[in-house]
Amino acid sequence: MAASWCLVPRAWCLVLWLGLGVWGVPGAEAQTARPDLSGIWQRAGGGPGLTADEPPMTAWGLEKYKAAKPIHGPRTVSPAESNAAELRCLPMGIPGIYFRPRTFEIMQMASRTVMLFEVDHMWREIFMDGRPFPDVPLGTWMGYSIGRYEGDALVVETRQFRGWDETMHRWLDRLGHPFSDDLKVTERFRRTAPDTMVNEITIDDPIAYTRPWTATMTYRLRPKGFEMGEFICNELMLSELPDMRPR
Amino acid sequence: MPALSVPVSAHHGNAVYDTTKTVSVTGAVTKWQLINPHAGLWIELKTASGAMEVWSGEFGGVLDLYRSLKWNKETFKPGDRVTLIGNPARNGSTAMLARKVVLAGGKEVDLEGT
Repeated sequence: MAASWCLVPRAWCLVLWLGLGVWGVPGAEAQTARPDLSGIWQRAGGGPGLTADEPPMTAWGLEKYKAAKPIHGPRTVSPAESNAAELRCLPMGIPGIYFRPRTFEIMQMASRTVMLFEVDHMWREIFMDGRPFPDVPLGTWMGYSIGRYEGDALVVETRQFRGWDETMHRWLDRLGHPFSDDLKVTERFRRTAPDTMVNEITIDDPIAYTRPWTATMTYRLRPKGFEMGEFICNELMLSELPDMRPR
Repeated sequence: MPALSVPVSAHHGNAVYDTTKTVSVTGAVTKWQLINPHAGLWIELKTASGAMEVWSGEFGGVLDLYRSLKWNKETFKPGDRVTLIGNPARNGSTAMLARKVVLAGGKEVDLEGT
């Protein structure tokens, strides 16, 4: 199939064809130039919630929100009294993980974008090859992510979460706003300045919220040479400090 | 003394520690637990009545202490005489959220931002 357009000996055609597959078609890069979001980022400012206004909760959402016992914000309780999944060192999901005040790295490849999180050495794969979502519910902690570029934005849709249940109070933030298995998160990452990236996050969860709603989060690029470190949440279980864990 | 803001990495908000109060205690280090998400330092001291008392201080996590202050496993050794300054536990126990430390050499370290 490579031979019809190839004007050099057949063996070189094969090399050329394989090369284009791996590195892409020269010139095509200009047409599909992707925004460069690579680097190590950390959330800049912002509180324990996604928005200052209360999101539009359904009766289901409000009931779960009332049952939440967070360790941040106006309803703060002690870790011993809390039911935050965070305190059991379970993954907070998307966008919950951004509330951990830790760095993450974005690595962009042709077929995938990878986010490496300092928290628990966790990674998130965002498939960029046009594949569909799995057709069975996976119920994952971090969701299943599919991405594409739209102009200067990386747009990522994430579904297939394991949502709130009686045993695991899963929240979008650190204030106790719940999410269900039906959560769909759409993120639009844009670099608005050399050292600044903005993520416009749309929450679409008809079980927990009456309509989709949007929040914005800002991240700052860490300086060149910055090293991500080790942050193993489960060390919390070793702590001898008083009142560190849920009872 | 005015209430200080809660450190970025605070685990407890102000549910456990009273951020409107500040205490200062000086004693000898008995344990330095450098772990995430919060390091702990324990010191032993003799009270006015002659009884021995152990205080714990809660700090930021390993990475924050390293990045801001280059603190590491060897920052405190058993027997080091240090002063812990911070917000005491609401329940009256001998525990605090550390805000400042005076190291064995006499240097005062502000923990704001860690």
